[in-house]
Amino acid sequence: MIRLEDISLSYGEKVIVENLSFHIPRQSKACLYGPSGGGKTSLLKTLLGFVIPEKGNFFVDGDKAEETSILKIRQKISWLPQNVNLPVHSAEELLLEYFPVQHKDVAIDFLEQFGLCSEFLQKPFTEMSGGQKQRVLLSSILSLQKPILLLDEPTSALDDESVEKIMDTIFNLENITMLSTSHNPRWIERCNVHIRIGE
Amino acid sequence: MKDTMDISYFSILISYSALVIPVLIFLYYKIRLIKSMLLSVLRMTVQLFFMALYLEYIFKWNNAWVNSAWVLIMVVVSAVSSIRHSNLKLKYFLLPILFSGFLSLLLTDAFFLGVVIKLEYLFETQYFVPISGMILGNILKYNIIGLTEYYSSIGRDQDLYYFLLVHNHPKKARVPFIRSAFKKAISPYIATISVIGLISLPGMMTGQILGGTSPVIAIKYQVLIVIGIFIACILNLYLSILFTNRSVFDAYGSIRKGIMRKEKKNK
Repeated sequence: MIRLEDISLSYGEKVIVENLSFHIPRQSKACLYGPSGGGKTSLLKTLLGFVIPEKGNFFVDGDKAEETSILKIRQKISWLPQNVNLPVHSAEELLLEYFPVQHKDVAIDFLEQFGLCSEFLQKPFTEMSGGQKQRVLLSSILSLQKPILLLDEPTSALDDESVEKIMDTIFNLENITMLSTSHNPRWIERCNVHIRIGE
Repeated sequence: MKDTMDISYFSILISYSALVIPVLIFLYYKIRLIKSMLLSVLRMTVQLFFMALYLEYIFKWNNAWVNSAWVLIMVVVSAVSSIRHSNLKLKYFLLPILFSGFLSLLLTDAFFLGVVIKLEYLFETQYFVPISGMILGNILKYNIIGLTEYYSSIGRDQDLYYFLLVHNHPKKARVPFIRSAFKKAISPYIATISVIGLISLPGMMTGQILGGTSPVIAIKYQVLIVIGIFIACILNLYLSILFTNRSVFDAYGSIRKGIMRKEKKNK
């Protein structure tokens, strides 16, 4: 589903990833792990076409990533960055204003699986804890029902109970191929593809 | 109404002596602005005297081509000067800003001079040159504030932009940044409009009254020019964002590297 061939990334003179190759089969749950600053987030952004590799190629669902195919590739991917300052007050506003195909009922299903009630869709982000906001955002992007899910440190703002609920839901999503970055040992353990990045 | 009193060249020289106040304050606090202030004043004086000479002929000829060329030169000079004073690179911004400035000025002039004032001859120097100049002087200032905010905020909130871009069309992903640009650029002008006549007397109205026009007519023109500037500002910023989007974003939807100049560090 996702294949990287000899990818090298660098910022200016500094090489952060060198000659990396890996393959993530369809419906796998993969994790990039390793020290901070090793290039995990940059690799996720590479798959979206936001960081251009110095050398190497990558393929998503058979399509080689290049200028002409990047929009097609993005249409298959949902992505949740680690920190994002949203220009909306609630998840409902996010769905209505910025997501072209809204599946509000699907978002509510995921909210309930994550242990939150449907009212959280309308609740202002400012009145939520970090963990609640993370679960609401995850429900929102999962409602888009795209086949590939990219998650950057999905459990960093969560308490243990919330981590369990999110893991139970995400690792049981059979039709989704997931690539995440994480420092959480339990999350890494649940993944079936492990890719170490950095020294 | 009395005729406007002329000011002698000697009196103008005396007015320069008041500059000793900022010079003393700058010297006391060691603010390195004296040279640039004196150079700016000198430039302004030379430019205005040349303009006065040139305007004498422009008024005498009252020719559509000459007047349009004059306005076009003003558009080019203002665009280059405002981009240079901002953090943006001429290479990416000059053509789109020129084109949007010219188009928004053309539309605003056509509406206000042709439809509102109902000039028989649209290029009448007495109206066309000063009104275009007033509009132009204002729109470029607000345009640069808006454009700088637009591109800086996308850079600042890069993850938000990318997040929206992954889940929607680029046009939609840029909406929050366009909002932010309009707010930052236009809010000061809206605040200025609300206090006109209360704590400030606008330059155009003051000039007309000094020139012997009745205050009622001067106010009518002032209302017209304020609305004209406002409409032109909005149009210009909108068109600039639209046109610069084409040259500034790459095929992946990211901002090209190096669209902004490196800021010089002030010691």
